[in-house]
Amino acid sequence: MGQRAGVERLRPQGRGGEGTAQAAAPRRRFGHRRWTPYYFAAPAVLFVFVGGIFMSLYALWISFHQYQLQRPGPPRFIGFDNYAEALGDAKLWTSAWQTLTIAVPALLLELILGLGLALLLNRPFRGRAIAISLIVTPVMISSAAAGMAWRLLLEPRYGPVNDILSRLTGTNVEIGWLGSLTWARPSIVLTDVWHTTPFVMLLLLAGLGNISEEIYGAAKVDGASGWRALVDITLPLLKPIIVLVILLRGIDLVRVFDLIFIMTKGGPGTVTKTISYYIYENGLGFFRVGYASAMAWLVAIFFIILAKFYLDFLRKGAD
Amino acid sequence: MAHALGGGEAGYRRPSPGVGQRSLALAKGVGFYVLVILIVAFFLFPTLWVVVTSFKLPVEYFSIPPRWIPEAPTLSHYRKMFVDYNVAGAIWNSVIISAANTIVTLLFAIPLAYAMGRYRVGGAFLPGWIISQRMLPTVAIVLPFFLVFREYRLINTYQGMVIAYAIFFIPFAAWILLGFFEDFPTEIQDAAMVDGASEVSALFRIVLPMLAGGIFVVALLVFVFTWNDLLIALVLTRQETRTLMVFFTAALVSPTQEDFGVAAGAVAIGMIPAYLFALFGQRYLVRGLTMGGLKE
Repeated sequence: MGQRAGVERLRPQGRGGEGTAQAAAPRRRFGHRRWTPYYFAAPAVLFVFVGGIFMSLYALWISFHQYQLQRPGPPRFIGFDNYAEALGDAKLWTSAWQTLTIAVPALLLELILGLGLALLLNRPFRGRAIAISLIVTPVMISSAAAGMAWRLLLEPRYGPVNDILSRLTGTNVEIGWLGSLTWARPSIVLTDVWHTTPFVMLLLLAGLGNISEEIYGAAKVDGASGWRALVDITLPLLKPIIVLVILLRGIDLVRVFDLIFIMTKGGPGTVTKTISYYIYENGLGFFRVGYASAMAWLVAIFFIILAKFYLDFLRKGAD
Repeated sequence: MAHALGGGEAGYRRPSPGVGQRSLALAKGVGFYVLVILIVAFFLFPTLWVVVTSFKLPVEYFSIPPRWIPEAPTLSHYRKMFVDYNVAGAIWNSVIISAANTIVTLLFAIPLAYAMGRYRVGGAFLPGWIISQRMLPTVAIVLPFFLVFREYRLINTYQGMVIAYAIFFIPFAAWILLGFFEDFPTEIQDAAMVDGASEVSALFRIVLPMLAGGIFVVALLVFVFTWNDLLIALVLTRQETRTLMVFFTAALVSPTQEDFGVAAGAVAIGMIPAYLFALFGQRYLVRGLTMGGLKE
């Protein structure tokens, strides 16, 4: 083996004239090294970058036009009118507010319950691995399936949720969860909490696993109670993970669509109409494509700013 | 037994408990297990209810109060689903589109992640761009897809779906793979290249086999996420190419007798990939779902 490598290394000098071989070989190797990485990256970058930019620019172009799909005729240029309309559209602002009334309670509940679960399960006990595996099962299920499952559970007359409540209270509970102005949004929140709290728990469990027991021992010596140890030691140490959870879940919750589409279609009335659903409805329900594109761009800009925060956070986490 | 529970407060160990303390610890232990069982039940129950409902006769799921356990389990909904509703077509579409997208995505993402991980191609800009793509609300992306695909007759085609999903998932897959390539020791590959292997053959014969486990998990993630997607499929498919998730949306339109059981059955089938992932890839769940924001 060593011999073969030796032969190979000798070969360029043995071939051809001295000067040309020595001059050409290093240059070829240099050129090779320099460009190879780009050959590897090029296909994906071309596909995604060019594809993505083309799509984005097309949406941008359309957003400056009045363009309604069912109506005949080409798109008509109207400048920033769509953007002006979006910013003055009371329904858009209402949908933004409604998005928050779903996203904020869901995020808080997921964080609190996830933390509670993580603290509860962060100790050795028999069956721990099985319990965690079973609790985590909803995480990879699609939102569409989760929404369908909870539609069955929340069925006013035949669903088990009202049945359980009836048995517990001894009265006949018939709450029309998804059809009720009061309960539609809490029902969406409940479904999302069921669907993603285990994920929050997993993240926080990973964080708790990295905190050494010795810190708590020192706190004990100082006479700190369990609660003080949680507030003064555990939570500050978990802060990076809590920030990560807020960013990841926040971004997903603010763009919530699947659960709405499957469970309420924005109703009853418009109480569960979120931003994503409102844009979808305008663009693909009413085919007001130009207007929907303008709204999509506005939302996208907002999200790019959010993404920047996320990136800064990741970089800080790496250092 | 009580000792194994580790006491009530995290990390505190009581020295030699007396009799009274011991029974207190036992009561705490029992209470702890009851709590854990209730929590597990909460997270399992919806799935179980769906599966059980799919085996109930309409008489049973339309009874008041609900009958929890079917007395006469039936496969009639599954028969109905396949014969009358052509769920097989939807499942087939989901499998084809998810599998094709997984392959295409990996074909593009692996070289990209390799170039980024080993040579830092794109510096800090490319990773940043990748992650900000991922943050955009799907509805903002799917709208231009819809408009462009209309022009090029790609709506309601497998090719169109795979193009759309690949553009969507290549950045995601590359981002997670990047972590694996960054962790891979360059010396191993360099040694092979000194021995005369070309870079491509060293990549295929040395590097990729050693990363096979990680690549497999990324493949699973891409497959499951494609399978789970609703919005892109909703907009870009029609009757012939609709996926199982889109099938759901039609399955429970009006609660007539059949629809309940059929919907439950379709949802049960739709959950299978998620459970397979839980079985094979749970270890990588955190990394996959945070896009490597937390390496665990």
